[in-house]
Amino acid sequence: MNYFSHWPYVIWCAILIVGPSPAWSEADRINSFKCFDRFDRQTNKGISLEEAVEACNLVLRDNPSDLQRYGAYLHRGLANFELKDYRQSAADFDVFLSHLDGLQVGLPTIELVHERNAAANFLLKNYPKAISELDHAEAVSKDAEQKEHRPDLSYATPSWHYAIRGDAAFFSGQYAAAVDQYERFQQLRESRPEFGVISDDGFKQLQNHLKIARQMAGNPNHAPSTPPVPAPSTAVDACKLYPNLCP
Amino acid sequence: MWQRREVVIGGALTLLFGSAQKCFCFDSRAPHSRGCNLHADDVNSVYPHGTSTGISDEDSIIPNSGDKAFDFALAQTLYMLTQKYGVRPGFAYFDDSASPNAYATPVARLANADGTVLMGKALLGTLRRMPEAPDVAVAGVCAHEFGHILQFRYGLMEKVNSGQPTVKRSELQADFFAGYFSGLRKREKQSFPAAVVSMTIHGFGDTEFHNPTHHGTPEERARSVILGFESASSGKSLSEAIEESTNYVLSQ
Repeated sequence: MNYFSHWPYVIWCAILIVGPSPAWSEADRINSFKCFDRFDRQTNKGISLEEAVEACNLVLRDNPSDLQRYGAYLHRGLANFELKDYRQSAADFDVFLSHLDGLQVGLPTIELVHERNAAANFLLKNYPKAISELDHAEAVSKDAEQKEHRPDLSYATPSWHYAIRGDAAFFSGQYAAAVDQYERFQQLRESRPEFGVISDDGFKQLQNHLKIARQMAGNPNHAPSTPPVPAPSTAVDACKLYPNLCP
Repeated sequence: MWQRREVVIGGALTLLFGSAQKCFCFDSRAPHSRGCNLHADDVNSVYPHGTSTGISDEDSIIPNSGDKAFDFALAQTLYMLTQKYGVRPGFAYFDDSASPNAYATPVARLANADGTVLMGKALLGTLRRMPEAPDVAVAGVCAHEFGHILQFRYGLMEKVNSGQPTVKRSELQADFFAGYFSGLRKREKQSFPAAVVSMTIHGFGDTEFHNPTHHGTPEERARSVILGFESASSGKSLSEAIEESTNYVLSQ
């Protein structure tokens, strides 16, 4: 499920190419490195996750460019995710997504699927709790929206959550719920394509999941409590094989 | 469509069930066995007599569940499994009150049988208390165990588990076969709640990665069921499903 693990490099490189704000001090630069350089989780052992979050907070506090801002939200989201602060992580990702939507930078948003699946894996273990966490995350996002005066942020939020919930339900075998959530995502994507935060490949996979979920869902709520009464010939054959189970 | 409360409650039940029944294939009476496969040396301690007569003076022999209607219906399901898998294992219950379990063993306790499937009564009770289509949950576990019989028949067990520290591959393949069965049933009967098979097996996943009896994580197990379901949905034959499942688990 690890579609593409290097996508934060793209953002980090973009920030380096654009360059930091001229007003940035040396301390700002250090903070940006601490915040953004968390992406290489395998080798970068020198900066703790907590330090990275704090550095990202400082970056955001200093009100840098939009590109730096959304990079900071993204990397803070990644760090918070590893710290298991899923509520704040989800809120950070939501803000990041809203920045992407607003900036239309054309980055390969498929890579968000990677985070969605990481979230989905978490949800598999903590599904009811996670739904509650995500609900709180929506509230946190809306709060962030108000503080930043960014309209329509809430529109981006549910699309991501629908996809997460769809995946979580799908992989936990709750196909009716998966169909419901995936269809909500599709509807939102159709009505507001600018908020369809998923690549073509990611969307194809989601559609594939939706197709399977529809097949698997069947009609479980109306399933018989006992298997159907077999045809007489079948019953005879079955009882020849399993006499201990037959009257 | 489900309401949020139903989704949350369903998830909670899945988690509760999963935590209560982490693995249905470990028993202190079967020290030579790994996973759901009962080693020949352990058969007598768990299941000393056959199912052909269903009568025994041993406490562990339980020829039927005591619910005649359910047993009769289950016999039809097992018959369907024999037809779809092309194997004919014997079937019986056993006392698993110490540790809910189900087993498959290559030891034949029935004339002309391909091994034996053993369903613990405690596990059966747990499955039958599931809120949604409990009969299908039982069928799913039986389909998984019949999948092991299929592995015995075709020598798949050794092939997929060779050099592996755990039995995960063979368990995932049995999950694949359970999904294959659910897909075939879905094709025959559109209202068949195939999702229950996946949900049930998902609930038996574990994260004991270093335990030799590790069966796969919940998502790995559900994924295998789904792949098996897809295989049947796309009209693949049993031999094609065997090949596909073998290739799949060898990549895991």
